[in-house]
Amino acid sequence: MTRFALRHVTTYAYAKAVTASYGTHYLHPRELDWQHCAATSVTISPEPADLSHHLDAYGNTKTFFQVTEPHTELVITAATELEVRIPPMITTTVPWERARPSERTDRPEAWRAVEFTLESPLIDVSEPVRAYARASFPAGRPAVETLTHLMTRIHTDFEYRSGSTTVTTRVAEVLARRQGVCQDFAQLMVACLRSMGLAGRYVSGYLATRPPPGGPRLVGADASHAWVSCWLPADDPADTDGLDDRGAPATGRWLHLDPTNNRLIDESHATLAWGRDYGDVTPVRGVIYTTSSSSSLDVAVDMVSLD
Amino acid sequence: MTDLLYHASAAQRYDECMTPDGTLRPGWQGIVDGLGDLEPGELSRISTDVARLLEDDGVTYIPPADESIAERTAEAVAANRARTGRDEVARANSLPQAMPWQLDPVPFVLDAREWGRIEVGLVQRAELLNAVLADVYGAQRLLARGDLPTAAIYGHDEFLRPLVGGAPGEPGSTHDQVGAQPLFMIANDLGRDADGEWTVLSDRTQAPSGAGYAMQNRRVVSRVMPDLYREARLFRLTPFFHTMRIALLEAAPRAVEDPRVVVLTPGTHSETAFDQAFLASLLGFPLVEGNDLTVRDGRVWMRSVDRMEQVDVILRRVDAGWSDPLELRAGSRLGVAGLTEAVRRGTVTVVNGLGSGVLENPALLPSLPQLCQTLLGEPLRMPSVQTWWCGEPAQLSHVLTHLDQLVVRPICRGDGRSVLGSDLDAASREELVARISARPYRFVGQEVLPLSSAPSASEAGSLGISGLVARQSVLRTFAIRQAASYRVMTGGLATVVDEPPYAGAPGHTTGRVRLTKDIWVLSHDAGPPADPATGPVLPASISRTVGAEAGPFHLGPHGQSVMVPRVLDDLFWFGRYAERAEDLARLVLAVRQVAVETDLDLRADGPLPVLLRAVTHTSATYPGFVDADRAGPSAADTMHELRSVVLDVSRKGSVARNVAGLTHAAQGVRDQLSNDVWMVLAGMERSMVALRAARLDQGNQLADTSERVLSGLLALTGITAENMVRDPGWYLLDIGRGIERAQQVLGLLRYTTVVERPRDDESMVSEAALVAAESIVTFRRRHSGRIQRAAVLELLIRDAHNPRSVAYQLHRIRANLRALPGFVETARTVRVLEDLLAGLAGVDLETVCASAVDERGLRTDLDAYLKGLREQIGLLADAVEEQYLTQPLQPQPMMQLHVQAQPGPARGTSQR
Repeated sequence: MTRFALRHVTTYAYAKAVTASYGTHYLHPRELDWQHCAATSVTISPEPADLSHHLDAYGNTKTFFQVTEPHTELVITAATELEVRIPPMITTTVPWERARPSERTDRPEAWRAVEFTLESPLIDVSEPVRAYARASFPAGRPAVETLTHLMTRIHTDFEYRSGSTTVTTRVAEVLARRQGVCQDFAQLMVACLRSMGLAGRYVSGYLATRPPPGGPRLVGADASHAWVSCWLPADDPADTDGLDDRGAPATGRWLHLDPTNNRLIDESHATLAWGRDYGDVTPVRGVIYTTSSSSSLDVAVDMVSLD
Repeated sequence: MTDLLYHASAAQRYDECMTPDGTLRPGWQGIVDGLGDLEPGELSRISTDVARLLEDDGVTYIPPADESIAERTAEAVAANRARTGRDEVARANSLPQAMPWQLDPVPFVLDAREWGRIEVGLVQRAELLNAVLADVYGAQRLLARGDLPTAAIYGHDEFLRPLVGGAPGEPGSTHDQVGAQPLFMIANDLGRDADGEWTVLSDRTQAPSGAGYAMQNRRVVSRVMPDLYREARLFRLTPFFHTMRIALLEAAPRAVEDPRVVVLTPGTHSETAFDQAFLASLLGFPLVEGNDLTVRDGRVWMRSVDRMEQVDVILRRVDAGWSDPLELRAGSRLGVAGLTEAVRRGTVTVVNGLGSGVLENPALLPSLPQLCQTLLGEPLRMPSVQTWWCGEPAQLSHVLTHLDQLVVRPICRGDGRSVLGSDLDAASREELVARISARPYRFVGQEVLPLSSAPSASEAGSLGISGLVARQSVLRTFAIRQAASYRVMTGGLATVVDEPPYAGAPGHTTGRVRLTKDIWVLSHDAGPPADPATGPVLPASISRTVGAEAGPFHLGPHGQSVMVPRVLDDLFWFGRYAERAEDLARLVLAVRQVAVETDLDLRADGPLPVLLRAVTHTSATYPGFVDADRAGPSAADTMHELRSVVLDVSRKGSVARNVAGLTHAAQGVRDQLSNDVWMVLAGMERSMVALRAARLDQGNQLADTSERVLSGLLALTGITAENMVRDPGWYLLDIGRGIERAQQVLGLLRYTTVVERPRDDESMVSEAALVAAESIVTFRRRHSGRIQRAAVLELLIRDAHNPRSVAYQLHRIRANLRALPGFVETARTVRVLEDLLAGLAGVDLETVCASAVDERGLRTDLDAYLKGLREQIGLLADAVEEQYLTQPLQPQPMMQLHVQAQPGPARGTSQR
C-alpha cells in the first residue's frame, strides 16, 4: 500500500471581473476496493454562495458550486490524503468474444456495461478505428491477453507529444496523426474496445511522481492522468468488484489499463472518477458571466508519497 | 346523398367521410349538408377568409432549415441579444422566415364513440410511457430484466445522465426526486390504416407543440363557418387548457398559495414560436427566455425591474439538452445555468421533465406490447406502427432485406430525417445501409401506413368548383397529467400529408408549411356535449349561443405582465419603432403635398429639395436625396426614392423597415399584447404589398399607402393607450415613444429651419414641417399671416401643451419614470431629464433665431441649439436603457484543461 498527499490547484484568471460563476467538479477521489480516501478537502476561492455534492450516474462524487461574488480569479484547491494498493488481478480465461456484455445475459449485471460499448459524445467509433483495433482481436484470443496486446500496440504506435492535441481533438485525428497525450490514448483505446463490442470506460485520475524502485520515471507524472478500464466476466461469478456504480452487487470486473505507460494500473495510480469519456468526468467545468474576453487557466498537481 | 362533389380516395385506403359503397360515416352528415349548401365559389372564399384571419392574428410557423432548430435559434438569440445594433433587423434575413400558418376550413370529423376508443388508447399509452420514464431514470428494473434493451435507452441522445438517480441513501443526495418526475404532457401522432384501425405513428414527449395551434384553428374555423360550427354538437377545447392550467399550478413543489408558473421559450425564431406564445397567453402564464431566469441558492428566479421572483413551475418548450449550459449542453444560450441542480434539489418543477425526450424513441415501439403487460398488466390497446429496431440482430436483418417497403427512421431527431426505402437509388441505398450497419441501434425500420383520407378544401380553388378532394391526414392528439391520471384534449390538430414519411406532423418538411385541419369530435346525443373529464362546461344555452371557445383565463394576482429586462426592452423599442415609422410616414405625406403644390419643382435651392433632403436626414436613409454626386433628382428619381423610403424593407430607416422592427419587437412580447395589434400589423403589411405591386404609381398610391400605414400606426397608438395595463412595460413603451418623437421633431427642425432662404420658400418649408409634426392646425389658430420661425420653434419645442412638442415629451417621460418601480430622484435618467427641462426654459428662442448667419446661410446658434438638444435626448435614451433595459450577460463556458502532462524534458524523455 502507498499513501499519498495529493494537491490539485486549478486557477482561472480573467482580464475583467466575472460577476458569477457556476461550476461542477469531480475532485473527490472514489472509494474503491484498492483505494481509500483518508482525508479530503476541496476549497474554492472566492467562497461559493452555494455548494452541494451528489453521486452521479456512475457513482462518482460530483460537486456543484456557485460563486456570486465578482472575481477576477477563481482558485479551486483539492487536498487529499489517499491510500492506494495494487488492484487485485482478475481471473478469467474467456476469449475476448465472451467479454461482450451484450452477449452475457447470463451475468445479471452485464447490461450495465452495455452502455460502455456504445459511442459517446467525445468518442466516435469509426471504420478506421475498427480497422486499427482488429489486429489485436484474432478469434478466440484470451480477453486479458487481447487487451494488453492492444494497449502495447497503442503505446508503440503512438508518440507521446505534449501540446500536439487539444481538449476537443477527436479520436479519428489522433489515429491519423499517430500522436497525442494520455487523454487521447485513453479515448482511442476506449474506441477500439467499443469497436469490437467490448465495454470501455474512461478513467480520470493522477499518477504519482516517485518511480517504483528500479523503474523508470513515468509519463504523466504530476499531472492529471487518464486511462482505460474494460469489463470482463470473471470465471467465478462471485468474483466481483464488490458493489457496482449504483450500490448494487456487481458481477464481473473492470480491468484497468494505462496505454500511455503500457501497464496495468498499480499503486501509483490514484483514481478520481470514471465515465464514458472525458466529458463525463471533466475535473472542473463551468459557466461564467463576464464581459471579459480573455481568460487563462493554470493547473498544478502535486502528488507526494507519505511513506 | 347531397350534391357535394367529393370522391373518396382509392379503395386501398380508409376514407373518413364515406364508406366504400358511398354512404356517409357517423358524424359527417351535418358537415356534408352544410358544405353542400354552399354557393359555387363560396368554399374558395372561405379559404381566403381563413388565410386573412390567420394573417390578422399573426399566426405563423417557421419551417425548419437543415440545421437543428436549437442551433438556429441559439444563433438568432445571440445575434438578437448582442446589443450592439438594435436596428439590425437584417440579422433576421439570414434566418428562416416565419411563414403563414395553413388551415383547411373543412374539419376532420370523428364521432364521440370512435373518439372514446382513441382516448382510452391514448390514456393507457401515456400511463405506460410514464411508468417507463420513471423506471429508466429511477430503479431501472426494466433494463436489468432485459424488458427494455439497454442500447435503446442509453444509445438515445435524450437520455440525460445528469438526471439519473444516484445511489440511494448517500448523504446530501436528493436524487430520488429526479427519477420521480412524471410525464406531464404527451402528444401523439396517429394514423388510421386501411382496415380502419388507429395506429400510433410517434410519441412526442420532449416538449410537445401544437396545442396552441389547435385552439387557434378552432377559433378561425368557428368564425368562417359559424352556422356549421353552431349546429355541430362538438366538444370544446377550452376544458383541456383549463386542466392544463390547474395541472401546472398543482405541479409546484412548494406549498405556496399562488405558485409562479412560466413558459420557457427558445425565442421568436423557434419553429413554433406562435404556438408557445399563444399557449402562454391562453394559460395566463408569462413567456420567458432562458436568460430571463437565473439560479440562486439552488432555486430558479425570474429577473424583474427591481427584484427577483421565485419560479415554481417551468413549462419547458426548450429541448432539454439546451436547458442548462452547465450540466447539459455546454454553450447553449437558450437555457438556465444551474437548472439541473435546482431540479435535483426539488425546488422547481420542470415540465416536461428534463430527460423526458428519451421516450420520443421509435426503438421502444417493438417492446411496448410486452411492457404494457408487465407494467400495467393489460394488453396494449392502440398499436404502434409496425417497427423493427435495428439494435436487435433479427430485426436488423428484416429491415435490411425489406428496405424497399419500409421507412427508415433514426431514433434521435438530431440524426436527420426519415427516408423511404423505395425512394432510394442504388448509391444512396448503399450509403443508408452503411449508416445503419455502423450504428444499428440508432435506427428503426417502419412499415408505411396507407393513411386514411378525408375531404379537404385545399385544392378547391384550382378545381374551380365547390368540390372537395380526398387528402390523407395524420392526427396530433394531446394529453395532460392531472391528479394522477391523463386527460386528453377532445380534438386536436390534423395535418394533411400526402407523401410518406409522414412522421413528425405538423410541418416537418423543410421549407414549407403543411396544411392543417381542426379535429371535431361530435356528440351523438342531443344537446351540447359534456366534457368527459369535467362534466358539462357551459350551460346548454350559453354553449349553443356563444358558440365560441373561451378566451384567456382570468389572470392570477401575478397578472400577465413580466417585467424582465428583455420584455421591457422589446416594449421600449416597440414604442420607438412605432413613433419612428409614424413620423416618417407623416413627413412623406407632407412632402408629397409640397411636390403636388410646386408641380414637382426640383430647383436645387427650392422648397421641395430641402424637404426631400430632410426626409433623408431624419430617416438616415443615406445617401438618398443628399447624394452629393447627384446634380438634382429627376421627377422619376424622386418618386422612386420616396417609394423606396416607404417600402424597401431591406433599407435601414425606411417605413417598412421600422414596421418590421416593430413587428419583431411585438413577436418577442406576443403574450403581453392584445390580439388587435396583429390585426393592425397585418393591415399595414397588406397596404405595403399593394404599393409594391403598383410599380408605375405616380404618387397617388404612395400617398394612399402612407395614409393607410399611418392610420395603422395610429390604431396601434390607440390600442396601447386604451387596452394596455399601466405597468412598467407600458411606461417604457411610452418613454420610447416620447424619446423618439422628441428626436424626430428636433431632427425635422434642424433640417428645415436652420438655413436662411427666400421668404416664400421658407414659409412653404416651415408649413410642411408643421404638417409633418401634426401641429399646423394649432399654429394657424394662434398665428395669422406669415410663418415666423421663432413661433414654429416655440410651438414644437417649448409649448408643454402641444403633445407633439419636445417639452411635452419630456414631461411625459418624467411622469413615466416616476411611475416605474424603484424610482429615485438621484437616478441618472432623472438628472439628465431635469437638465433638459431647465435648458429648455432658460433659452430665448427669439434671440437664438435671430442669430448670425454664416457664409453658407446657416444660423449657427440655432443649429448648435437644436443639435445640442438632440444629443441630450440621446443621453436620456442611454440612461433609460442603462437603468431599465440592461440585459443580463450571456453565459460563457469556462476553459477546460486538456488532460496531459506538463511539458518538461525530465518527463517526456525518460520513457521513450
